[in-house]
Amino acid sequence: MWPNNALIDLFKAEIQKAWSFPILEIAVGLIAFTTIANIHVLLNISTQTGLLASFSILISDSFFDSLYSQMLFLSIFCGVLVSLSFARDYEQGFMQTLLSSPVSRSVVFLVKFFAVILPLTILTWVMTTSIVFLNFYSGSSVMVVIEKALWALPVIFIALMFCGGFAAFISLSLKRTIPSVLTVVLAGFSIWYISTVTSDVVGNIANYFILTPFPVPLIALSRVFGRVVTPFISLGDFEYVLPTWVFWVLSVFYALVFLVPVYVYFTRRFEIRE
Amino acid sequence: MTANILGEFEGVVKRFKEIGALNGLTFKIYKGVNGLIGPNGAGKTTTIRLSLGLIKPDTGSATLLGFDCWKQSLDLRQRIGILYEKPAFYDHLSGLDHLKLMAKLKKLSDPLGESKQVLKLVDFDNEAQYRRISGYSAGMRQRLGLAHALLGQPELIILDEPTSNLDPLGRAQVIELLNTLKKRGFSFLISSHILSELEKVCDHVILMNGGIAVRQGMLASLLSEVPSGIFRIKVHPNEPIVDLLKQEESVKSVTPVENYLIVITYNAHKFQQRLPFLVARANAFLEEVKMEGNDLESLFKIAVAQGDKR
Ligand SMILES: Nc1ncnc2c1ncn2[C@@H]1O[C@H](COP(=O)(O)OP(=O)(O)OP(=O)(O)O)[C@@H](O)[C@H]1O
Ligand SMILES: [Mg+2]
Repeated sequence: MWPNNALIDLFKAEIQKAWSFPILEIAVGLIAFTTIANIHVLLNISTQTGLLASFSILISDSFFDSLYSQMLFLSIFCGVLVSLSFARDYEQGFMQTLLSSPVSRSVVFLVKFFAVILPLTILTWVMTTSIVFLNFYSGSSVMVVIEKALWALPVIFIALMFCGGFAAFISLSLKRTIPSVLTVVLAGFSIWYISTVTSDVVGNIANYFILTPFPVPLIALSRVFGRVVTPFISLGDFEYVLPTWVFWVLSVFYALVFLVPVYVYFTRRFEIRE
Repeated sequence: MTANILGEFEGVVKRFKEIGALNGLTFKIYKGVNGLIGPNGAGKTTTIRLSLGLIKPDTGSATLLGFDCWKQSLDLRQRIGILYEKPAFYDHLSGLDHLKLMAKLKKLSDPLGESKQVLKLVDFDNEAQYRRISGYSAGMRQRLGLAHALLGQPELIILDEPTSNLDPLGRAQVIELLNTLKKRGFSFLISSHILSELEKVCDHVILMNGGIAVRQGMLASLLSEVPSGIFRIKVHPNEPIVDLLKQEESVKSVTPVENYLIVITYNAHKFQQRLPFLVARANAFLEEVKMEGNDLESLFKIAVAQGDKR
């Protein structure tokens, strides 16, 4: 079914609703802040050492590091937006209006979900890619610039699908705005904490099994492009032992692990009870 | 008669954890105006949600316009108009834009024209239709919700408390509008507990209590069946006099409904003579005595009282 005019209008209305003041402003501000903070640190290092050339190297190496450091707030922000979209609509009775209109439940779910995920992906991608263009100005090759910019898009998308799916799962189970938002924030923070701050056994185990939706698609892409990306999260020996297809499968797995169950629940069993 | 049937509920049961919201609800909806009447918590809203496929019945079957309410809900929603107790909209859009979007989702041929038309019907064709919905008053939201329900000339229009949030003038207007639409051949299922209003529009009523339909039928014939000699009394305190009344030979039954007692008598005259004496004996204070007449309110109270006895 090719989306008709009405569905495009519905999608537009959902985007306007999800990104109404002050959400968009907060998102732009936060992403800009983390992006600039990263560049600033690099500039400091390179000017102190007096080697402007090292700026180029540092930026080139740290592009995905910088993106990764944003994943803490991005995953939390994404989760909060998805929770607001589902749980608040349920509480305020608008979910009831949507599900009573002649639109299938699948459409309602997908429209609401992607009205958050797509703009956030694009926003993050545009703003972090600005680092790549700084990279270009500092003398790097065009191919490196384009390659990194291209990689960033699916990596961000898959990571946000993972976080958004989790948030949809939580908010449609709890059906309450504040508990859902709190749960998502806490979960996002603990995932980040376990996988980056702790470097002991717990952190590694967490990385291996569930907490690597971000580096996994990156490794998959780097295998295809024939380049090896230095993993900023240690995947240990696994990164070198596992074949490429495992990383593709894992990427799809991360994107859909929460989304598919919550989609099935929403379209088959979900009820409006208040 | 079957050609006139728009919908049918057969032994519908729905439980929320331990609470049975619907306990074997059976009724029919006919062409014309159907009133769904019941006290708070009777299950009216649950029934309406179930009709729109928002709730799945545990057992029993619910069909409207020949479609199963849960399994064929999408087809059904295409043909039904709905106004909920608390209407919700895209608050960042204007009233007109919201209606236009809903008209497009309903696949109407002229979304703008039809939106303007229903806005005119509900007396909302002023400049407010171009303002954002977030700034609307409760009454304006109610009117917009009503306009939404009328969009696309649905075969059945379901209204949950359509006159709540409206001032007396607005209520009268809505009742008048419903009467006009009824003459044009629209069919309604209206839930309400403002019975004096429903009385003016309903052809057919379904009296609900405790998740079942206690009485149903044509309003006129139900009203003609209201027996005489039924009293509604308000006594304080309530308990001691109930026992005394039950021992009276002129009294057939006593049922507490809300803070009243519904007393069905064999002999109205005798009962009226005895009542002051009984009140004095119970050491109670008589606040109100009213003989029930043949209006919807009495019918409702009696039906609830009889329903409780079963
Ligand atoms: N989500 C829920 N969880 C538990 N019980 C519920 C839920 N929703 C409704 N109920 C119960 O189901 C019964 C019917 O509720 P419903 O809202 O259908 O009543 P109603 O007739 O619309 O009442 P009102 O006139 O107050 O709107 C009530 O006893 C209510 O307590
Ligand atoms: Mg209700």
